[in-house]
Amino acid sequence: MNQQEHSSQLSALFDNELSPDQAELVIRRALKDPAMRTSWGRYALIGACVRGEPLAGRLRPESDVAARVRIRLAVESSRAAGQAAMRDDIRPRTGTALLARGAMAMAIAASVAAVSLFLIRAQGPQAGTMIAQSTVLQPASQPATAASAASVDAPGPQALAAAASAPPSYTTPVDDSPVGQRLDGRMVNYVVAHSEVSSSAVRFSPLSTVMNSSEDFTQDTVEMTAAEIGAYR
Amino acid sequence: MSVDTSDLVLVQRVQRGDKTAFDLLVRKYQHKVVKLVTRYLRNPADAEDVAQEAFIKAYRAMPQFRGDSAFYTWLYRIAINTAKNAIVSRDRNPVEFDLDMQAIEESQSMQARLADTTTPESLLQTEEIRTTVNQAIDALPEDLRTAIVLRELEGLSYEDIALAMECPVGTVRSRIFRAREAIDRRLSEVFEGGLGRAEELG
Amino acid sequence: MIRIAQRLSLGRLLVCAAVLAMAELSLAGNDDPRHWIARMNEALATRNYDGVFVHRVASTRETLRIIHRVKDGRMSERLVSTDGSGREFVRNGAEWVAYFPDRKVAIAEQRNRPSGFIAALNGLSSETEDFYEIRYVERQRLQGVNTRVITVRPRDGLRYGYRFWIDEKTGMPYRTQLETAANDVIEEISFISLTLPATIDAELLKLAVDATGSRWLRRDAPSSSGAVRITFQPRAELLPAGFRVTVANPPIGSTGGPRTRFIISDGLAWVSVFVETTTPVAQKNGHSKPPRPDGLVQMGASAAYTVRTEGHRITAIGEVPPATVKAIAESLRPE
Repeated sequence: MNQQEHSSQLSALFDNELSPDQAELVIRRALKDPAMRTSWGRYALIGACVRGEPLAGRLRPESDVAARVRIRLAVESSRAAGQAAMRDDIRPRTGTALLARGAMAMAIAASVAAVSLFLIRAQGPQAGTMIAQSTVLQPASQPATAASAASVDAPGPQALAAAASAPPSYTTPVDDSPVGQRLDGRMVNYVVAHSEVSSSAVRFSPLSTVMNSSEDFTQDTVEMTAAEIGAYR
Repeated sequence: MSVDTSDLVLVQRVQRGDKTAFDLLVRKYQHKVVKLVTRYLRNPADAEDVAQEAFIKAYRAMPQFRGDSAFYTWLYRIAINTAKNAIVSRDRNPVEFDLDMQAIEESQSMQARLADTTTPESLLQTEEIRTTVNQAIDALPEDLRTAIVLRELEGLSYEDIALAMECPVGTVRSRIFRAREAIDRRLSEVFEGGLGRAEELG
Repeated sequence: MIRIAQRLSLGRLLVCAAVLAMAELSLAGNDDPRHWIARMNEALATRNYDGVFVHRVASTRETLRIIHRVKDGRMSERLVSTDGSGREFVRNGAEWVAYFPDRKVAIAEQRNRPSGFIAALNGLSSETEDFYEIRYVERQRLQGVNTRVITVRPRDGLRYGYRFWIDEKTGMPYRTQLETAANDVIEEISFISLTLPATIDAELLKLAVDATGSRWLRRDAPSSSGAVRITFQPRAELLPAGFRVTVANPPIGSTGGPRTRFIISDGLAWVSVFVETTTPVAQKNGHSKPPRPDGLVQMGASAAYTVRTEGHRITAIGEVPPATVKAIAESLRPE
């Protein structure tokens, strides 16, 4: 089956015109292929245009609703390798679709760049359990921390392949301010210092302006030593 | 087909912890949800914020989705609830500072960049996307155009389109796919050609 | 009673007073704006909250999630951008870290002011009420929540005011606007969702972004040694009405860069003043040149005004109208 045929299957899948078995196969491919996911998104975009509907990413398509949801889900629940833990308060629900029963941390051999973690985190008294997944990029020389995960069940290779996803990519906010109002280096310093005393409705507001500026805000900083960094990580 | 095969398979995967599968669902339904939520929050930016929240809620509630209704129906309800609960009503927009209107003497800040060395990133407007798509559709051969319009505007199944166009279902599928490809090619030029256009502006 | 008051810190006294006041007055009939401000301050200081809000200023807007926890007297907070930059700010007591995954930079520093990202409105007093009018506007239903609208309006055009929509059940400000004397909105934060959980998992307050491969930088507190004595002082009679010097040479600002020399305030509005020496300006005929203004920069809600005079560069910056930072910058004179 050539590339065209694959893509035409994706198109048919989008229209719900495949059988469940065929759908399963195409989805599996799409989950590993970012280009297919982009096409999928374009199909939705085309449909919305044809129907004259609003588009979900007015100014910058790369930060459309899907991108923001993607980043938020990736970031909110990711934790550094080795912190996966089995929680006692997981109550498997009867009658619902499959849920991962325990926390699963799967460390791939050190030569592989990606580590996938399955985490379960109690979300509070009202919400029950939530499954979260993250992909943390590890440099090849650093072995993934598997020690704490040794005792838990490892997902099968299929689930693992399905879970691997591209690391989130972050977009730097564009400085939209008029040229006469762009910050220079000195002003950045002033703003940062002032933000500590600022009474603005949101205390970080002056900082927010700085952070959204494309100016260099790393002035007057020194590199931290590895030991100092360790205290924060 | 009346069964949302793709949704069912994707939902199952999400319930097993697959975020990428959820991403496919979001990509498919984001415009519909924004359109839905726009009825409650007319400001497009607010609608997008609420749409984002609705998808996050849906993701978290996915373990509770039992397939009693179609996925979109369930998502639809979550989106409406989120929109209703959104504590947003934009009656006043923040002012823009207009330096010319200040009563005091003004001048550019001491190191104002009058000639920016970096080319500003082009912002793609919704209308530009829409225009591109519409032009691309107009440029399609008639059989491709008919197929994609019957599918996207009328919502007909491949089988019904095949009846309407008096051709086999396989041909319908191929025509829709080729229409999408042609439009997508035009869109790619717009999305990825930003740098080229900016250079034109000098 | 006096002994007890002496032992309690002011903050807790305020809380006690607020609690007593709440107990005395019935909820529905209370239209005392100070009561609602006190409730808001109490909620912001003592409650845990987790919400998503939209921050709008000028033509920009951003959506952020905030997670705020007060535990054992220690405040921890995390602010996460949901707009695609992945940026996060994490505060733990006085320790503060800003993460920029899009630039692969993390900056850590100490911040001594104990207030959280969403600031309480402290500083209301009989003195500040000379310059601000506090008013209860109305009870307003804001998409399903009963709120009380309270305004703190400036009495002149030299400062900005506030408008709060305070949830009558929880005291949380669901919406806050910074506005001019003419009621134009400068800046706004508005919650899209907000919960007040009894406990917040420590995991939610940890950096979630992958900081692997990021540069880690530290912004130092300034050392007291090596501080150059600045010979400029603000002249009280030249400061805008109500503004006075509250701190001179405060311990903020970084070692290598410009130091905050003065903090000038009217009780609610705060302006930082920086003074730096520049290369001496060549003087013709022995006369010193008049101050050459470098002008106004508006950054969101903050206005900054810079003046150069007699070999010094003076910058005033604050969330006040441009005329005010101008007047403050120009009020500095050589001793």
